[in-house]
Amino acid sequence: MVFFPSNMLFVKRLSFCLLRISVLILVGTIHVFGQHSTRIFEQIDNNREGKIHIPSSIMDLLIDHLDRLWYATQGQGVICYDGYNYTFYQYDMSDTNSLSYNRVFKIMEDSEERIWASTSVGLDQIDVRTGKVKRFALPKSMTSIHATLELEPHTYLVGSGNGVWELNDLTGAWTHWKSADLQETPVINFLKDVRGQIWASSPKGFIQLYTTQKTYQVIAATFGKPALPLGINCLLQDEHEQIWVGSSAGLLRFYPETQQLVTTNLVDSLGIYPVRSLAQDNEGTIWIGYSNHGLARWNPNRSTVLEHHIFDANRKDGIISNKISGLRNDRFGNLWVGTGIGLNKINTRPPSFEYFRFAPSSATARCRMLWSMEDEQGGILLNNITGIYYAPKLGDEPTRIYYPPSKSLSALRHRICPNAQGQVLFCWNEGGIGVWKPNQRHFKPFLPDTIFAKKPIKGLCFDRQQPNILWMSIGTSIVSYQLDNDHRIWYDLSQQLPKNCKAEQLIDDGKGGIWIDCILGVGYLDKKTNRFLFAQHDDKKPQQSLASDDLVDMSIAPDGSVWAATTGGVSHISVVDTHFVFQNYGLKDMPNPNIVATIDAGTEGKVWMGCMEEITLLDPATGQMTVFNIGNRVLSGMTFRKAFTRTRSGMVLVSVEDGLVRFDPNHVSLDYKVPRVLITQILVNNKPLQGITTRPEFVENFTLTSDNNGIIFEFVGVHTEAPLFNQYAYQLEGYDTNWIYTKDLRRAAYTNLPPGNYRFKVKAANPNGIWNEQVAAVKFVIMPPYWQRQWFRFLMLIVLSVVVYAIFFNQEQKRKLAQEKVLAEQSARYKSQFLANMSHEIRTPMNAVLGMSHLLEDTSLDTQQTKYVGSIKHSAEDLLRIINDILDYSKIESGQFTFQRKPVHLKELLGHVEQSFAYRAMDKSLAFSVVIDPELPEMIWTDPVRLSQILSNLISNAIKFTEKGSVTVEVQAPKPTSSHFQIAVQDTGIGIPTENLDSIFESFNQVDEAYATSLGGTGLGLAIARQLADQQGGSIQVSSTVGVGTVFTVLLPLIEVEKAAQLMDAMQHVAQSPLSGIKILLVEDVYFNQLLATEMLKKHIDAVHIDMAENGQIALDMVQTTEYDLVLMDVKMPVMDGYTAARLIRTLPGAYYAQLPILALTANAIPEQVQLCLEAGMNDCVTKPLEIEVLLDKIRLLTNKNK
Amino acid sequence: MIDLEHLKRLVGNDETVIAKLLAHLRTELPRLMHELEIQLDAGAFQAANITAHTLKTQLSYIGATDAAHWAAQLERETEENKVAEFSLMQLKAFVGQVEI
Repeated sequence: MVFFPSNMLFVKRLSFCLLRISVLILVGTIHVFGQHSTRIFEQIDNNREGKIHIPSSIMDLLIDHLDRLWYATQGQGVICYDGYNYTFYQYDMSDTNSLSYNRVFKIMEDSEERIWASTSVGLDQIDVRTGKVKRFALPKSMTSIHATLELEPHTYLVGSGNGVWELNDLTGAWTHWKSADLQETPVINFLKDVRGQIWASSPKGFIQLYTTQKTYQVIAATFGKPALPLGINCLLQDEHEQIWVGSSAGLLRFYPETQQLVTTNLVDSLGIYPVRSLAQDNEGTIWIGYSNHGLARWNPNRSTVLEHHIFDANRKDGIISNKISGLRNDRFGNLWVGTGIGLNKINTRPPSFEYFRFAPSSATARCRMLWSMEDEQGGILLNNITGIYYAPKLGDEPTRIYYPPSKSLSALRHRICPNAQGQVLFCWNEGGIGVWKPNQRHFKPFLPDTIFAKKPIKGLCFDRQQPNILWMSIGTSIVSYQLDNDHRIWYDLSQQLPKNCKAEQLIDDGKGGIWIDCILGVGYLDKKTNRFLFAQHDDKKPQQSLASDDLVDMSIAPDGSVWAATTGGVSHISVVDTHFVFQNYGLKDMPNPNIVATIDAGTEGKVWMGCMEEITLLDPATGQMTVFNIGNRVLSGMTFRKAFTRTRSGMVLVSVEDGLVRFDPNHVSLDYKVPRVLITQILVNNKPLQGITTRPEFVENFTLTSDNNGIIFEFVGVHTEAPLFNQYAYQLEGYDTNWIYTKDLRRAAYTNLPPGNYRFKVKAANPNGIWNEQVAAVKFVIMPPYWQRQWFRFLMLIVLSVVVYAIFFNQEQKRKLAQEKVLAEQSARYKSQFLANMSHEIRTPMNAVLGMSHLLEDTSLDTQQTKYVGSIKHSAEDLLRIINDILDYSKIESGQFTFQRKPVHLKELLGHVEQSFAYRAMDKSLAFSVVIDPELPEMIWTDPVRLSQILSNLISNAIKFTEKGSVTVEVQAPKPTSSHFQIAVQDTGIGIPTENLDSIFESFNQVDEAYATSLGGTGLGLAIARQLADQQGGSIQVSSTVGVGTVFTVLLPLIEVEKAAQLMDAMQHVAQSPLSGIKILLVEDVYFNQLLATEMLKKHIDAVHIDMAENGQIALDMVQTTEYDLVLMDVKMPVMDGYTAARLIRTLPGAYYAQLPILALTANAIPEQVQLCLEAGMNDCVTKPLEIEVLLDKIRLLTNKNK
Repeated sequence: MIDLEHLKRLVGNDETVIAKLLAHLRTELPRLMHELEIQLDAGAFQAANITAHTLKTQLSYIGATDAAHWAAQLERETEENKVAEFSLMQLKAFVGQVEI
């Protein structure tokens, strides 16, 4: 047998048109000329798509419910193959959820779609959804495991080295079945027939199992005479319920009724060889895998051997081993052949295309075949550049019958043609026409070369209406030659043809016209009118002209129109009246944009086109194109023009690279088996989907975060006749609006998917373009980022509401607080007033108590009484001090507090203070000192009582809270940048915590309640001191360290410090001088004040003269007309205020205006206002409501000083 | 509530003067209050400030301390160009309680 090496891989270069069906038909049968046909065995290459090639002996095969192929191997564990991807289940010593061992004898799928693997060390259950493997512990008495069979859900039969065992996979319990003869027989295979009867095979023979009794019986098998015992390897029940037995002596048939095993005539045909595996294909034939004798196909009905394949080292597309260990047939017609060194696949479906290949050694195989033609006797003429060959029939080895002269090129197809009798005419390059004589197997002259002056004839066709006329193309002319009378008519087309155009191929359309291939255009000669039409491609009218100038082939349709293949596409050309009508199919319209090299329109309503690597069928009625890729690079050389020819029976012959392809254009069958599609991988941001427990094929839904929005799905259409040519379409619901057709691309990628709910679905079509509408789908959700989620929006709404409410509430609170503040202030004033009243009321009797106690103290008392009186006096003094504090504070709070400023001898005052506290300090053994800055003036202008009060409060506090150490009072002159002098009272007492420093000046506040209680006090001292300092334009600050001590720093303004002594002298003088006869200008706008002031002054100053001015402007005028001793100036008036008036008076010329005493009448005695008055040039100020004594003192002072 | 003690002391308990002063206030206080209201309505803060100042002084003299307080408050607020509705309301309330 001669085989020609061929590449096993399918052709890959395919691009299928969306709207057209693409069909792949494998060349199922190769005929080698002169030989029996044989099959191409596809070797399943584990190295495909980058997988590691693992040569391994295959022990068993299985097709699962998803059409995937599983195979048990001798050293590589269990492999699942979906046509593209390999999934390995192997032993991993670190993983108890891995296979128990890599040597696997048998595999089986149960009703729950789990895979059972019998390894050399145990029994494993593979959960295909999770990929996890569960190992079952074997009974100690079990010797080995060979096969498994599901008896019923969760009950399994296990064939072992010592008989049959039963396993409950839920409990893990084993039951050992007993054989009828109590002999432990190895069981290597099971068969459950259609009636539910279970059979098994054993080296000792055929076994029948009795499930009710849980026992089995060996039916001894013998062979030959004398009878030899037979070992049984495998069992098969065919579609006719016949049971076939693969034995050590070949194929047997088992008759259950008689329990007889009968040998078949296969033994006679192929010899006695052990059968290892059996399978039945979809055609009903049985495939027999021998242990070491290859693969045979057997027709059980006729008991004939159809095929026998054995390993041939010279053939790469043959079976790879004679050791056939497993056979499985799938629903696509694939027969999977497990061998001792790997996996083969063949397809058992009858082929639509037949490939006749030349024997590699033959001369025909050396060069590409150019044309072929069937002669009138069914012989085949073939031509390549080495000559013309002849085979008596297709399949016979051709022999060369003509050697072309060295100068001439090979003849072309259009230079041959059959006549009406089927004779083949042939134009010689040298001129003249010959005719093929099949019986004599050579050409004879038909017409001498002299008739056309040895001009080469380029085209030839018989007139279909007048068979005695032969049309020939010669140069730019065509000639009508009448065979019977040598009459010839020349049609000179040179004037109608463009430059470089010549007439070549001729076709009579049978309707009165001759179509002419003019190389660079198409011509048509109307035989009746002799009208010649010519057309080329026109860029301006691409649809109304030839698809391209470069004409490749023409074929006449039954209706007389012509189909022209050009390098730019296919044109259908009709002649209507006197012009061409075109319908074009450009390259873009082709399923594969290949140039059509040859075309055949001979089938009614169908057009066959030969392209590179494929044959395309066009249905002009629908525009649908169907691609038949016949695979295996069979057509790779079919770039030749005009390669199609028809046999007399209507079959199409195609000249190809190294042979011929034949097909019946009316009986090319489609495969309707559609592939199941599986999603095999889900990549999220280029990483496998995380957080799932199942394999991608079984993922139903998943959820992603918003940043994981790049998703890739990979999918497969599981197997089919040629899975590489499966087609796919997918749609992402929620994103894609339509299906996306990917042809053979098995991947869908999405990036930057917005948050939302999606459903990805994918479907697949078989290579014939028939879709499986049952999709594989997975739902997923991309969660929005938190700020787009409902809960966050809800939260934001709440927050917003809270904020809005808070703002509103805040406003409301502010309003309430303001109201409360007012009320509180009012309340505080009431309180102060009440306290003042009460204090006043208490102080009066308290003075009486004190006075009485003084008096009592001076009387003669005994010791006890003296002690009692002392206590009364001491308590009364404390109480009086407290009352005074409260009274002062309440006055301050109610705004009734007034300062009586006057020149004060600071050192004297401090000396008094020092003396008054020295005793108390001494009592506590504290060092007490008062340090006075020598830079300080002796006299200052201040309220001595209040200054003493401030100092007393601070010093008494210091002494009170100091247990040891010292209390120091340090008085410093103002710093250059300040107008305030400073008094610092420093102690080494208990100190004040930092957090309390701000609150110690609050009224009734004491830091350490317990301590304060023990020491007594009202908690008003510091509050009063601060108020006193504040209201004089000063301040009190405190710094303290707990356990170290405290420093209170008082800052008080020095007002008219340098004049204090003089003023004091003047005051002493004035105080004794009466007021009378003075002239006062009262500047006051309010009538009530005018009246009051006038009455007051009149009551207390004799002969006082008072003039009235209602505002500053009038006052300014009046002082310039009348001389006054004093101006009483209200500061706030309409037209001109008191400040302005005073300032302007001071600017008036003359000493009088500079010295005129101006006493301001202000409502506020705060230092800032006093300062304003002084700055405006006024001499002093009194506050309203006026106090008569104060007013008189001030008047006295100012008028006397002025004098 | 008013307290005329201070006023009496100022004028040496001269009942005639006191009567004269009070008689003036009987007409003056309502006028000033009315004026103040109009000034505040018109946003004439400077004028209102002077009016409040006047009220404050007069109310102080007759010992109407609460009313004087709110007049002083109004004076401060008008000095800062604030619409002092609340203070005006308080002032009106307390002035209303002044019986002369």
